[in-house]
Amino acid sequence: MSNTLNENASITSSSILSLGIESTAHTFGVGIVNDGGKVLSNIRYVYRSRTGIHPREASRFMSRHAVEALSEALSQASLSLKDLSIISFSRGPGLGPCLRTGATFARFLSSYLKKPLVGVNHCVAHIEIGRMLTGARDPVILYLSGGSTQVISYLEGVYRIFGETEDIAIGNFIDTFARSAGLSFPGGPIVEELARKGRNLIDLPYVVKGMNVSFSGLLTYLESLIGKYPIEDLCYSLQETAFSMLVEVCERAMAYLKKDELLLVGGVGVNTRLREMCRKMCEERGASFYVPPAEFCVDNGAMIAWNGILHYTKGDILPVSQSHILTKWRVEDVSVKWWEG
Amino acid sequence: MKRIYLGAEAEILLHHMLDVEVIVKRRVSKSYRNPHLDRKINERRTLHEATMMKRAREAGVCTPFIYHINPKRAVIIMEYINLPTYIDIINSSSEDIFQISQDVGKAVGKLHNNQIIHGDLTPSNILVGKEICLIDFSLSSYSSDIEKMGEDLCVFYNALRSSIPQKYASLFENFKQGYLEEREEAADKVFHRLSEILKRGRYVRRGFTEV
Repeated sequence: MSNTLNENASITSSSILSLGIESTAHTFGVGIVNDGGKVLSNIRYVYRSRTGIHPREASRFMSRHAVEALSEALSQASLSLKDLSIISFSRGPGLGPCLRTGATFARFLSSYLKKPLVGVNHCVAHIEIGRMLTGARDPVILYLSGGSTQVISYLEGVYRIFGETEDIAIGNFIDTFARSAGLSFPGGPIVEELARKGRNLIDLPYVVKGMNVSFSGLLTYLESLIGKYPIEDLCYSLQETAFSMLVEVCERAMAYLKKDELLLVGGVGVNTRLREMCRKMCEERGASFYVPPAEFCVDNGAMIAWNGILHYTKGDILPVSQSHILTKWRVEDVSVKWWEG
Repeated sequence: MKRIYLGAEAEILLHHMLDVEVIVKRRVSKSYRNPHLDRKINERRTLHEATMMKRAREAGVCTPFIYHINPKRAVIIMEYINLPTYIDIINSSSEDIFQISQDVGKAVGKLHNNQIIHGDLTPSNILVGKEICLIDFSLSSYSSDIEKMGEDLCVFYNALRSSIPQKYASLFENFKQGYLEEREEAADKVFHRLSEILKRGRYVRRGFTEV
């Protein structure tokens, strides 16, 4: 479905070309998108380490690869710097040193090229690229990544959080477990692979509080079981339990808000088992399930570029002098002026 | 059996048993969940809900009488209380809604005096007759934590505010009076915590102060 949408988009002529710079955690992404929603390029450089993200090391990695990523993005789109109309960057939430690297690069480009600067909320960008690519209109959004676990939906001018984790995020939880079990970082893909071979469901804590979830107790308990059960069974039970909790709170939010669409976004959204569970839940409710292609689930520059266009068309331009980063920027603090349900 | 409500988790059916109308609450099995996990969750929640209803009744708060529980099939069969909800009463406005709000406060106060947290105190879960009856204990818990009690009142306050924007403030004042009468000095701590919870960014915009 996403492909046809993209091709349709390319037919319409475009006047705004947005450069998007993503640098909230381990990914330095540069993407170029036009105002018809066509993704012209989407380059990602991902900081890798066996143990997790060291913010300073990650930010150094980003400054080393920034220029490279930019020139690749331009050549893939067959454009030059002067063709760009606006410079969008992820302003938060995220790791301070990484955000500063991206922001500095964006400020430089904006001042040098004399093109408007647009500050984008990373989380809203995930939602908007998801809606644009899948055609979801007014969904309940399940946003899962290394640092975020939130159930979000649009209400009265903002994306409002209806449920979230009370302690650690799902990605963080899986990564920490993987590290304790001696698996490498990021843990998600390895845990998913091992879980496929798991057969026995181990009894684990199942913590749902209204529309909130909690993973810290589950993590502690799982860590105490390492070595006592086959790792495949541990990974299998981890996925079954944690994902059931998440799908349950989504269903509760959908029932409460009387919405019949679910949109899954964020890096953990690439997990096949999670997608299958979301799809089954939606089928049973007679609702529609949407998830963007994997390339746009993970952190990427294209989503920042696209959200930049949405802001820009409503006149949201950020003066360089006020473009400080916002490490704890909540999704509810962004006014969604471009909304059409 | 006639289905009268379908929630995210359970369905509510109206059924005749020996000429008596009863409510059958059945937790629905979810195909997305591992079958073993699904059975475990539904079994545990069914037992928990029935236990909490019994405890509330022992604390002197009216709840539907339980006729039968079958945790394996995730079913509770209970008394059908054919009464209007608190929200119906307020909208009809023929009754003394301020006295009723006080009575609701008293009933919730009784629960809290017995460390029972309802967990979902929305106006549609409150039935009004000669006495106040509370239904749907599926999110209830057992706790003496001031925070939990504050959250309980917060749910009620927010639901009241969004469903009756014109009258919610005076209704909630009366609710507080009833709660205070029942709990005496313990109530102040809970009210204080409630005003803190309401100021948190999670629930409302920053800078918001009421109550």
